[in-house]
Amino acid sequence: MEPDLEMLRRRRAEAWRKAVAPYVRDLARSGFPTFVVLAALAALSGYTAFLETVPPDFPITAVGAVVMALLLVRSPLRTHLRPADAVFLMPREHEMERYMKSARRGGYISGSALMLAAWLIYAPLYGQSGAPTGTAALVPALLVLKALNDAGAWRERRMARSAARRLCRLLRAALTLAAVYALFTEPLPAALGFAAAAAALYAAVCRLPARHRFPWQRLFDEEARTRRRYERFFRSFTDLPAEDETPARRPYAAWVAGLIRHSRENTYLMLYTLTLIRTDIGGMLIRLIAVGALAGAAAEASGALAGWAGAIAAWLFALAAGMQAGTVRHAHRHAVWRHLYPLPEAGRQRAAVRVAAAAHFACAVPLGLAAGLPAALAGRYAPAAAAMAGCLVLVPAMARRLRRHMDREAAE
Amino acid sequence: MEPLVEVEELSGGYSPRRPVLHGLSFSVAPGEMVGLLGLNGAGKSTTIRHLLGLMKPFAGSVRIGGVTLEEDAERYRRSFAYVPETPLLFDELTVQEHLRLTAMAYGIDESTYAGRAERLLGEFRMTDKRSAFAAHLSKGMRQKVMIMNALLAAPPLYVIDEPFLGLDPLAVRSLLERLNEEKRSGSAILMSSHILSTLEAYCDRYLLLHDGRLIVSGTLEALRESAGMPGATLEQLFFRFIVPERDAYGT
Repeated sequence: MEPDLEMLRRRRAEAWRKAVAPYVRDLARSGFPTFVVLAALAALSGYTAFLETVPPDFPITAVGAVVMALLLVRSPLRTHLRPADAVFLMPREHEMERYMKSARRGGYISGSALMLAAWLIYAPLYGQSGAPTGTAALVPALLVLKALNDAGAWRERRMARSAARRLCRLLRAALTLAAVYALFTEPLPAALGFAAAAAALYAAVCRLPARHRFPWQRLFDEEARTRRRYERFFRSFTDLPAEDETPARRPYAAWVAGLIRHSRENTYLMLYTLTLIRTDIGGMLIRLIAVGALAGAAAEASGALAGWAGAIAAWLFALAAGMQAGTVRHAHRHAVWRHLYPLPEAGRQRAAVRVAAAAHFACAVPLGLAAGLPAALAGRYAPAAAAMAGCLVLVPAMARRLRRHMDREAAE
Repeated sequence: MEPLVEVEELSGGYSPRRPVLHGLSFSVAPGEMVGLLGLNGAGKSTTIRHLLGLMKPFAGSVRIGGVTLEEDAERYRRSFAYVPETPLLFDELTVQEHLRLTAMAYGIDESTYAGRAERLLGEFRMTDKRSAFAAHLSKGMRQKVMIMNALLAAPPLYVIDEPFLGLDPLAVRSLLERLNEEKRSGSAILMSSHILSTLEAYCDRYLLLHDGRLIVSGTLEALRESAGMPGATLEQLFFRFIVPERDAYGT
């Protein structure tokens, strides 16, 4: 074990960077960066056009305050701690301040950089709000608020009870929002006075709940969640073995598994159904439906591309949902159960395709409807029909593609 | 009676240059509980892995239910249920769903499954945990799920590796009672454990492995005769057979 804990954390961060480097290369080759750059350019061009014609009743201050408050409240911490540290590092708890120093510094720097980037983008809009304080003058105040929020987030991590932690987090978010709003609308000295009073109030309240000396379990859980998020992201571009993930119950969807007929040939069908619903695959599909439906409806309402923008957005999200649902084929590929239990191997591929197609269909319908219904109501029947039909046609097309994929993988 | 497990001249391990098992031969008959004994590293788990078909023998053969894995994989796998030392469960499935999945895999009809599952959940005091995710269970409870899965399948052969680790005393008793019941109904049980007193109380025969070799096997009486220790306990016999060899190595 590394005697210097600060060095140990640095070594772990370095090891992590080395471990993900190949996946970053795969990501760079995937075309995703090009997509991001194009999306950013399109967004920037839209934003520039918006700046020239900001509607007079647009809530500049409220929007800016919410965005900045969200970035200030968010305080991720990359500790690289693992459960085994309960054995090896716990006896050195009194020295952990050294270990955490660089984690905190890294969190503050990356969080501040993100916040300042958002501030830079928001600044032209802020300039039009008639605020009493200049754009540059607010930067130090925002940086101090970020440091206070990071300190507050650490206090919350130390809280022994989840309910108290959530309440304090809610209080911190509300006070931060109020402080940012004050900074945007009030003269600087008065706004700073308010922010200081809010910080004092928060500090006083946070002294009340019971606290851990060092929140080992919370940091283990947080680090595991962060790793899972990275893995999920990289898994979209490369074949990455899944680490343990916490299942979600999702009873509103899991009841479907109860409808599967009890027979040997349906064994994999039940397993894949529950896996898709309860793991990150299901979570991602739900998010895709929510965001895709919103995007489709908003694009349709904008009337862009002669009313076809909504349909195009729906198709893109339905395509993404199909690809996501297809990842269920990777589940349990290496499960030892396949060797120990008499699972009907012949039906595995068919079950994966059926589950993926059913999930894709369940996504395609709301996506098509979200873009198609408003179009139909506005009398744009061609894009309305195309939105719905396009989403539905993708389902069998993606299922065929998935079957070919699995055939190829089986042949390899 | 036709043996259910037939192992003949089995040599195996991870590398042919350094085999772990050297020419093992033994059999397990229906209605028989056989204890697999040995020190850590003796080859117990490797033997079990060969029985399960997770490892391929370098030489010799393993037959379960009269067939090798290559001859009829489905019949081979449906002939046994395995309880591993470390529970292997799907985190996203509940206890009840694991039981249902097992029943489906073994082709057990729904009404039989429902009856057996209720009985097992009650016996192992898991009724109130039926809707809990495997990910949220303690080690002992996860082990109970594996045991319930095996008993639910009611196969001709049970292969059980260190089943008592993490189990509470009531669960140990439930397991042993159920295994006795299964034995009486004609199932064969091959159980590996370091808890010699329990093996002595429940097993009919013993296989003692040392350094990948079967150094002695038979009933308790046969082991006593072979050691020249009438009335000795299994633990005394174990040390009698193992310790002289260790001394011979100068350890």
